[in-house]
Amino acid sequence: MSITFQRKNILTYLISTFSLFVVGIILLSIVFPALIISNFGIHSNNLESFEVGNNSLAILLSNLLVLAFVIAYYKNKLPLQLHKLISSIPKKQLSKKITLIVIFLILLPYTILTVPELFIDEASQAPDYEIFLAAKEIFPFGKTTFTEATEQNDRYVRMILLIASLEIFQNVKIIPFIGSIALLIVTYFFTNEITKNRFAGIVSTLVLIQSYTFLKYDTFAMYENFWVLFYVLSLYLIFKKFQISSISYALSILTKAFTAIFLPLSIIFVYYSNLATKTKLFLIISYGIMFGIIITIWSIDTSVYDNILRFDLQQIITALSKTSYQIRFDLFLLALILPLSITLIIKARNGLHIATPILFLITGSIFSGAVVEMLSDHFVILPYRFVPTIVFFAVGIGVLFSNKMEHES
Amino acid sequence: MKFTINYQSLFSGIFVISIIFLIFGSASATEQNNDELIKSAMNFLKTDQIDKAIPILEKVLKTEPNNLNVLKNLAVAYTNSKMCHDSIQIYDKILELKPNSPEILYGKAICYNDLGLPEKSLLTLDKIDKKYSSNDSILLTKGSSHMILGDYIEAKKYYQTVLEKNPDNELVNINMLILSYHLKNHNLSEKYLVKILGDNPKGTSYCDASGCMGKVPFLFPIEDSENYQITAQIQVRTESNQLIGIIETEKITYTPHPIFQQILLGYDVVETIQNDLGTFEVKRIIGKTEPHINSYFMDRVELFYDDYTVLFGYNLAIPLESGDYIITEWTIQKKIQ
Repeated sequence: MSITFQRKNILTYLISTFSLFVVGIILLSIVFPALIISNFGIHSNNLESFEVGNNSLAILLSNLLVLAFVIAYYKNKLPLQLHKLISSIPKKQLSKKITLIVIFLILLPYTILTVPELFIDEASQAPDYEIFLAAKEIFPFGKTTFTEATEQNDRYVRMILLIASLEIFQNVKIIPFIGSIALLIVTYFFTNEITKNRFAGIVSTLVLIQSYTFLKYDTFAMYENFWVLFYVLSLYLIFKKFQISSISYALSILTKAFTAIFLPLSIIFVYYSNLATKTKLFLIISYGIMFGIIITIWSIDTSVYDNILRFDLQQIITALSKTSYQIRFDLFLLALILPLSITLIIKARNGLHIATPILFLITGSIFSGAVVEMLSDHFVILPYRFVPTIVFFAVGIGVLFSNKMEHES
Repeated sequence: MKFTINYQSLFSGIFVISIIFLIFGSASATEQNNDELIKSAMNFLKTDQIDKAIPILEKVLKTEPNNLNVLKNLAVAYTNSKMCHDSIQIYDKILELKPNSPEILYGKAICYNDLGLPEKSLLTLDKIDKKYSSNDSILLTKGSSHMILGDYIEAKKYYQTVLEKNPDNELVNINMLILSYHLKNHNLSEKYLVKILGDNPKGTSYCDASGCMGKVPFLFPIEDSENYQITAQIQVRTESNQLIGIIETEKITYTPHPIFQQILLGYDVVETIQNDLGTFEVKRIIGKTEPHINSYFMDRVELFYDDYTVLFGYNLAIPLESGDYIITEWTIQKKIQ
């Protein structure tokens, strides 16, 4: 057994433990919403720690039932015909033509049904629009006493895209909506790339498009998806055009600084990829260089980010607990997060290496929010910041249909 | 032939006269037309219909590019419409026609501040003749430039110079209030809140994150207060009383206006605590509300007094659906020693 293989095994074990911890806290907070806050919160209180939460029974049951099904499948306890049927799904490969038609059939009704949202006045929808307008006045390098506006202007790419939407279409929502459609498409290509299965790509696109959180914010200019788009694109480019992957990652950070904290996720993803060692090294160095450039830009522009740092470890656990309420309407994700995590762990143990970084992307993107809350009381995790988690969850579902051989090592 | 030449001369004469008539006639008509346009633009400006006045003034400028009155009014209209990039171009044109005009330099400096370019604003103000240097508006603008630069002490000097001459200058009092926010000096905030709003503030229909007192900032971060520590805990429940989640926030703004102390008098002290920061009496305010379901997520809780907010908790971020309600518990620790 090679040293690299042993290292990967240890890392897979660590990522699996970490992921089960993250998922465990979320499920625990769904069952007992007051448990963590009553013990780790800032407020002295008389909360009943073990009060059972709304939806807890349904979500817990669905997780356990699907999990039992997964275990039964892997232990060959399912009826033979059902087992055969499930095993045959990943082998189905759709033609390019059919895939194109299916993607078109998914995107067309989505677009038609969503277009009316573009005519809702952003100012009446999101109070943050006022901040954007104030920031636009002084963009890119003007000064103001308005800290929130300064923070908006540190997100150069986002400001450029939103201003472009306003200037070109006289509607701030149009380019963000195009960004959301692009995210669906990139999710398809990314899943297809790592699974070598177009059907898997379609499944992940469908999982993303049914998400409450994705649909809620897909046309919001203030809660746009550009940052997710650029980040997922950077992962896809690792396989397709690794030389420019770090540029897409940098664009993501310059759209929303939150993705800066995704760097370990990208590095793990590169590490587990089947690229040549030299390519992996190039990718990691290029990420490092991009990171350095962004930090330099922020320091030259006297960025707001260096003024709002703190360290409060307790926030990690309370933020994870809060996640369960923030994605409360994403029932599909909540109902499957535990069985999916365990299935990915099994797949990884069976040698499908890509399962590990995908699991890390799902749980790491959740944990990143908690890290941000630990490091800053200025930024909190808002529901739309779980769009990357939902994308990776969708990709994770797609990975179950991977055509890549397990035991690929 | 002779007839033909005479006929040609006559025809040419008529043609020339017609052209002359047309040119002068149309010039006179344009002038008359412009006067009417300017008049209507001014009427729009008087009634705050800036968006209607701007295209008219722009139209007049096409035929009278050096009309100072139109240029000035258009520049001000642009400024008021948050189009300072355009204003500055017009101001520069006026300065070519009327170099060092103090009012134009002043207008340009205001715009630079609006564009977040306080250094340029200060440089522009320095070009104004020294005899105007003690003018209130210029001092106020210089103060604002320094405030944007984060040089609060210098800003305070300019504001205080104005207040020494004119203690009731409302704009400067509001700027002093904003300055107290940046200086994190809530005693100063209290002084200016009372000065501007009196002892019994009345809310307006215009509200933003800083409160419901029109353009007067009313709510200040509790973390900057020396006298109070406040946290809020929010239970989110369904229509059928099932628990969805519990969130807490320390990101709270309150009003340093004395009205807040009066409101607290209506609540009992639940305990007294002592720590490194001093002795505090603790009060709790608990309220059940059905929050407005907006299109994004619940991001705030508020404690109202009359028709305005006195406590505002934010950074919450929980999606709600119709029927959900919240129980908010504010814990207020007031320093007594």
